[in-house]
Amino acid sequence: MSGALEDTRFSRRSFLGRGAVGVGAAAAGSLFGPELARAVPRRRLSTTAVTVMDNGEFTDAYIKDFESKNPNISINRIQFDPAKFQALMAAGTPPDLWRTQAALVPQWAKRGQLLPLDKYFAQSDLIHVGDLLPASNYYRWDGKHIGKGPRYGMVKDWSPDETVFINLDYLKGVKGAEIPGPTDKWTYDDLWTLASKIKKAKKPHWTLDVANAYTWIDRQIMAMLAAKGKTLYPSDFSHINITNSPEAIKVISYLFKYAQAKMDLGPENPNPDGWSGPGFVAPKGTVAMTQYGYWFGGDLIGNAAATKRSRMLPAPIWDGGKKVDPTITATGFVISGQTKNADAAWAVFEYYMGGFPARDRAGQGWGVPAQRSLFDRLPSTNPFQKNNNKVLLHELPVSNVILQFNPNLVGLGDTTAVAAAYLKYLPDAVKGKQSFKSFLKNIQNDSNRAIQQGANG
Amino acid sequence: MATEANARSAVVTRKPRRRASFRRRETLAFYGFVSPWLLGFIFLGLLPIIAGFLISLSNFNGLNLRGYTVGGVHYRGAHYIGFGKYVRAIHDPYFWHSLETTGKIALIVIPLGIVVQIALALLLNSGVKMLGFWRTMFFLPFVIPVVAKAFMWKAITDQDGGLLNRIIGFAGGSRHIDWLNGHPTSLLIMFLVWGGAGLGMLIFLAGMKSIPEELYEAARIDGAGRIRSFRSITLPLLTPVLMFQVVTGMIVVSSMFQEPLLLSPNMQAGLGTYVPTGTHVFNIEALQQIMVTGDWGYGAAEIWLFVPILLLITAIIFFSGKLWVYSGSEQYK
Repeated sequence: MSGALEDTRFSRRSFLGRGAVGVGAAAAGSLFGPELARAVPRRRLSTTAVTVMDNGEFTDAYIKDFESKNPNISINRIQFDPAKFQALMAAGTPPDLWRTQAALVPQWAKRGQLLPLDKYFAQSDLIHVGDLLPASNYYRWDGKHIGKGPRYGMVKDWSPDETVFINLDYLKGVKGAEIPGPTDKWTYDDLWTLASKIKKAKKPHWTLDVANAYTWIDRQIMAMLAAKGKTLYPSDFSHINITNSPEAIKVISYLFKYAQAKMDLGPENPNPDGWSGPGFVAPKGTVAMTQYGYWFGGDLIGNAAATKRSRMLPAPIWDGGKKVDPTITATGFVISGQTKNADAAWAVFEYYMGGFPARDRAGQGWGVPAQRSLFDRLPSTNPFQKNNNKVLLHELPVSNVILQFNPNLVGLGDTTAVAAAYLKYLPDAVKGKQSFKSFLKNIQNDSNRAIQQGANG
Repeated sequence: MATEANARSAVVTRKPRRRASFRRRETLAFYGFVSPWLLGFIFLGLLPIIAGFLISLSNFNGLNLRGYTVGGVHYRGAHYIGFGKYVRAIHDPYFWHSLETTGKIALIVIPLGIVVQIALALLLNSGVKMLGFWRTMFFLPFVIPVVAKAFMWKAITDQDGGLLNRIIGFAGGSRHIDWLNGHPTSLLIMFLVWGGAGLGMLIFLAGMKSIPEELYEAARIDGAGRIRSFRSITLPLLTPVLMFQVVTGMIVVSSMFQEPLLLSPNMQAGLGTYVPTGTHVFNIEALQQIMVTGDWGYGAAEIWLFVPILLLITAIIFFSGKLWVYSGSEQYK
């Protein structure tokens, strides 16, 4: 008995020996991973792992559902972290798929870092190119233009982003304050007048959120310039047009007025939440208006009080200008050009963009679906949603403008060098420490330096 | 005779071989023991430092590790471009401003922090009741994660209804001080001093406990009061600890970036967040050059330009220490 017991015990020598074998195997596994995988019989290692980096919208429930339907593919979801993403990209080992926004796509497409997906789209049963709305064209790049050429991804959802949401409580008792109906025409000057009246009468701390507290200010300027038929960059993307463009100066002057009047959520009048979403759902509603798209309604939908007191308004236009209402975010997914599991990555992409998650998202009103066929799923049960849909249908025909984001601007966060320069110089300009002319010149110089650097590499 | 001589020579030759073998084993053991640290230093310290220097001489932007061809035009990958980034940084007022901001904050935070730490240590060393409780309370801010601390401070210093403004209002001051935006430097300084007070207090307290009680007794017999005892015994004997705290304070301030970022009024843009000029420290400047504008070379050049400045300051602190740090000999004055 005792002999048998002794046999089952680990002696110090055998423990160390087995431990060394274990450590050695682990080390060899990590050093020779791919080789080992090839050497081991296929039956044991037949699952392909696809790495997805997103902000948590690719939920565990979706992953479980996908893996149950595709037992040979496993999803390894990584929470988006700019530093981690930067490191992965810099090292040339990006995730297989990642969530992104339209403004960031051209920089990768230009550098051949994205996988062209046309052949996959052509074979797909879930996603049909003819069913895609124009917003997905932001994920196309032909070497010179955004919106043409191969498809490198598509939007997961989007919205005409120049529309405005207002907290109606801030209108009560404001003399002469009028808001447009869902299909009415109104101008940027009307918006300024309305904001000024609200500010004067109600003194909200934050009257209007423009471009996500300016972090997307370059996109906002591009959209406002598009309404004037102008662009922020020339067709070769070699520089930025600010001081040499009367239209750009006019657009920035218009936006600057809000900062000077402390109506915005900029660095000179910061909001602790960083954007207007929480301010709209807060019990008292701390933000009066926000210039976001249809998707913002999805952010409010879970809060009955917020939906009751909020209303979506159409996008303003310039006096004498044409109506355009492009998306400035167009959030979607791309697949890395360096993926070793292209087919499996596409399977994940296809599921998320055309399968159950796409239908699920459309039903939540969290943005306009990428496909026309999902439109009938948009929520339309209460007056708030019905109004949103009315505004949306009116805006859709003018939402097909594709803004030409500069592929020479390299940056992996949402904020580009242009927006960073705007935020950097705005406080001094508002305080009068630098003139408006210097403010524009400084933004232009910083932006051009970043563009030139990106153009060469 | 010949056999005896052979035997002797065998003995003679065997001994050094044993010694050599022992020494070799000792050497191997030494390298075996230090190799984890050495490998860690090489791969996680030395190589990144070298890589950082090489990046500062290149046009690397985080995406162009390899070359690529677009429309028949070939773009080279990251390559050597000389010292242009250094020249640009030297002429960039925002780089110098960030250094100035870092220096100003260090000049206030380090001395103020030390005063607070010594004061707390003296308080706890004066025979206060529930010493363990107070020690824990003062040390607590140090163990709270910086993110939690920052959000707590944002709530405390909120312009509308923050605790700090309420206290100031109760004392007759303004209830609506915009700390986040109007006084970002003061806010950051308070935050750093508060956050570091617990650890510094413990270190000073340990230093005070190690001072022999006989010295105080002798001073009392000689008629010295508390202030005189502190000035002539406690403080001089604490100078090695003071030196340590000055050096670690320098390290903390020169490597800080999370605190100004987290305490900025608007954190929406993550690493691209606008950080007020009063707290736009050197690390924020370099980090944003890399993360926001993708100018890795410029960010790395800024970091490398900071290195000689930091070395100079460290050298001054160390050499000045000969004048004021008590080392247990007559050097003490």
